[in-house]
Order: sequence, then C-alpha cells, then structure tokens
Amino acid sequence: MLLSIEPDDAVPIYQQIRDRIVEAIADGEQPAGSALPSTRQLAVDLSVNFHTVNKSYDILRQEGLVRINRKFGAVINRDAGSGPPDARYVQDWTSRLRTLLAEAAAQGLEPGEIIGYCRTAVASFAFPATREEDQSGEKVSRS
Amino acid sequence: MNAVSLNALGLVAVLPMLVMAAVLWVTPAVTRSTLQFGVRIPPERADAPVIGRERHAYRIRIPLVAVCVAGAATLVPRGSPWLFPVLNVLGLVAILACFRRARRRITAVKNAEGWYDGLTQAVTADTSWRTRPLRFPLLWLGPAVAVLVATAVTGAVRYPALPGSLAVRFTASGAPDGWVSKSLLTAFLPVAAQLLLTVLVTFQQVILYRSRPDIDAGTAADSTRRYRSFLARASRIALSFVAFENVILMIRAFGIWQVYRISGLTGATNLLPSVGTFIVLVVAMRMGQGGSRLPGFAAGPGRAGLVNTDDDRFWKGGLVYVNHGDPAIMVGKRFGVGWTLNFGNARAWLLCAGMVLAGVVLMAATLGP
Repeated sequence: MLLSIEPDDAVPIYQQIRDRIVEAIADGEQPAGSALPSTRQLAVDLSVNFHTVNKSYDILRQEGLVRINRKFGAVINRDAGSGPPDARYVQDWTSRLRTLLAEAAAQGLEPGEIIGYCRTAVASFAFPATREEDQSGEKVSRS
Repeated sequence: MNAVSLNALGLVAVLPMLVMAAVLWVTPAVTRSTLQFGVRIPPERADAPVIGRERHAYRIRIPLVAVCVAGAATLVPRGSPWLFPVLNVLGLVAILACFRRARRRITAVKNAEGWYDGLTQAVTADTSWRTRPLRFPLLWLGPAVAVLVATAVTGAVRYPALPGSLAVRFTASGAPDGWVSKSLLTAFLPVAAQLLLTVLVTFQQVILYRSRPDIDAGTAADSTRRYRSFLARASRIALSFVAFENVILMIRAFGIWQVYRISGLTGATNLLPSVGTFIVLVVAMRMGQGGSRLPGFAAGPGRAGLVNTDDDRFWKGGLVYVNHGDPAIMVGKRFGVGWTLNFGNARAWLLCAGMVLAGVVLMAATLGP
C-alpha cells in the first residue's frame, strides 16, 4: 500500500498513520494476514520518530485490527471478511458516527446529500462478495 | 622539451578537480526535475524560467572554471608543486560558488512566488519496499572474498621466507626504491586494506538495503519500483568495484612478497583505482538520481493533489542533510546520484568516521609509505 502522511496537517501523525491503515484494510489493499512494515522501518520511510509509529500500531492492536507477532512482525488481524464485530464495538462506532454526521447536518448538508456521501464511501470499500465478483467476474454465494 | 613535460604534468596534477568539474557539470541533468541545485520544486513549477536560466548559466560557468584551473596548472613553475593542491581546492570552491548562486536565485523566486502555497505537502511510503524486500546480492560478494582469501593464503605461505626488510615502493620500471622492516603489520597491510574495504562496502550496502528508498513521493509506487532496480544495479557495481580494488591490492602485495617481478605492472596499479572509480561514476550518472533515468518504467501519475514536502531547511547549503527528527542514517543525495549521511543522526557520524579511517588505511596500502 501507499501510505501518505501530511506533516503540516492539524491531525496528529500517529492518527494519520492509523487512519490510512484502516482505510487500506477497508479498500482491500491490506487484507487479513498481510504484513505491515515494522515500526522502525515505517518510521524511517516516513521520516518520523519511531515512537509515533509505535503509537499508531498500538491503537490498531487495541482495536483488534493488527496483531503484533514476535516472529512475523505486524500483521493485519481482520478485514471485512472476518465476520461481524462485537456489540460493544458497534455501540462505540455508532456514537462516533453520530458526531461525524452531526457535523454535516450542523453545517447545512441536506439529508439526501449526507446519505449520498455515505453511499459513495461504502461503495469504494471491498466487501467479500464484491471482491470475489471483481476477481472471477461472477458472484459467489456465501452461506 | 622541459616545458612540454611540465604542461602535461600540471594537467595530471589538477585531474581530480577536472574530473570533479565534469561530474558536477552533468549533475543537474541527472538530478530529478523536482530537485534542482538542492531546491525542492513542485512538479508544476519544474519548467519555471528561473530554473532553465540558472541551469544554462551553470553549464557555461563550470567549463570556464575548468579551463582557468587547467591553464593555471600548466603555468605552475617546476619548483612549486605545492600550488597544485591549492589549484584543486580553488577550482572546487569556484564550482561550489556557481552551485550556490544557482541555488540562491531559484530559492529567491520560489519564496517570492510562493511555489508551495496552497499545495498539499505529503510524505509517502510504499510499504511493499519492506514487506517484499529486495534481497542483498550475496553471490556478488564472492569474487571480492575469493581474491581476499587467495591473497591472505599466499601471504601466509610466503611470510616465513621473506627477508628482514621488504621493498614496498617501486619505480615505474619495477626496481624497488622504498623499504620497511618486516613485521606482520607491514607485510599484511594490503590484506588488511582488502578486508577493511570489503567489510566496509558490504556493511554500507546492507545499510542501504534497510534504508528509505530515495523516491519521489509524488509518484511513490513508480519511483519505488525504479529505485529497486537502481539499488540492485548499484550494489552489484559496488561489489564488483571491491573485487577490482582487491585485485589491485593483491598485485601490490605480490610485489612486496616477491611472488613475481614484472616491470610496469606495479606502476599501473597506481592508475587502476582511478579507472575503476571513473567507470562507477559513468554508470551511476547513466542511471540518474534514484534510477530516475532508467528506461522501461512508465512515469505513473502521482496521488491526486499531493506533492513532496518542502524539506529545503534540512539541507544545509543544499548539499548536507541534517535532520535530528529523521531516524534514517543514509538518504539519497540531494544533488547527484548516490547516497549521503543524515548528520543529524549520531550513528551516521560513526559510519562517517569508519569510512574516513578506511580511506586513510587504503591510501597507505595502495600508494605505499
């Protein structure tokens, strides 16, 4: 994956790294089981302090998205095809989503527009069914 | 007759400066269009008139400096050879002044016109560089090690039979004209030099395989692929160069150990390192900065709206990298092809000290006392 950070942005760099990796998982670029660079390697490649990358990986580990293995390094732990998340996660995510959508509503976006943007974002992600469709050209049913 | 030989000698004495001038003359052409004279330039400003103007001026000034230094060298009187190093240094200073002028003028326009205003500056990494790493070409180390072992074994066999004083310097006709008393250190200095060179270059190459690729963040995926090819070639050239240098040291060692007595060959070993260096330089220039001139790679589009971070402030004088916040030890050169050290990193200073030490020992071993 290509990982871009914007050093001058208001969003902290550790947060940017974490966000880009989450997006790469959703896009299907980093499926479950795929490797990430070690914290030191990514720190050198992005020209940032090693503790910054460590912090990003630690957040991803706490979120259950990345597992850090002594032998294989950092590996993506789950993706869209790994089954539903636990209920506590959904509850937490819903409250954050509400805040994000509230910003759009407060800034005057129409309900239809908000739903439209949501649709576009979700359509760009790789869900198991769409991914298999992309590869084989026909839909594979999953039970 | 005397005057003619004097002229030729003078030119040879300033040859280091002339070669340097030639390399620096082509450097803007083998450097990325987004990095000219040490100044980071956003892609859409690569055609700015000031850059073309300064490149043109630089291209005219460098040959002028070279001609002046060469002319002065032929006028140096016979009794003042100390003038040659002075001329070499003066020439280099003049070239640096040309570089500095171009850099200042481009920077002035860049700041005045605000080239980076409104652009989204980013640092991009291609994680495949780490997750599918390039493998160090261990096999290419074989020839260098083989020559080293052969030299060491020959030395061990010859050592007991060697006389109390060793001839370590020879005239062009092959007659010895410099002696030292026999000891393990004096007899095995060429082997020590071989070992040092082999270990140091290998160590440096291994560091490069673990370093950040010298890429253009705007076209990260494409330029990472380019850089892979560039590093693979560069390390093979470096390891071949070590093998070549080891052969030269072996020839010298065989002269000291009286394995052979061939006139001329030892004299040639004084010139051969320069030939090797010249070949390495030509190949490097042809590949371009970070492999930017390698054929067969499509110049893929960058990530929409992102440009490289303007990092001019970390490049002192546009040439020396000092960034305390960057964990990298080695980074791509700013002006030219190859790598340089991050002098904001203590480990880079250690590496630098090692290289200087190796250089001194190598000089002692190749040129004799």
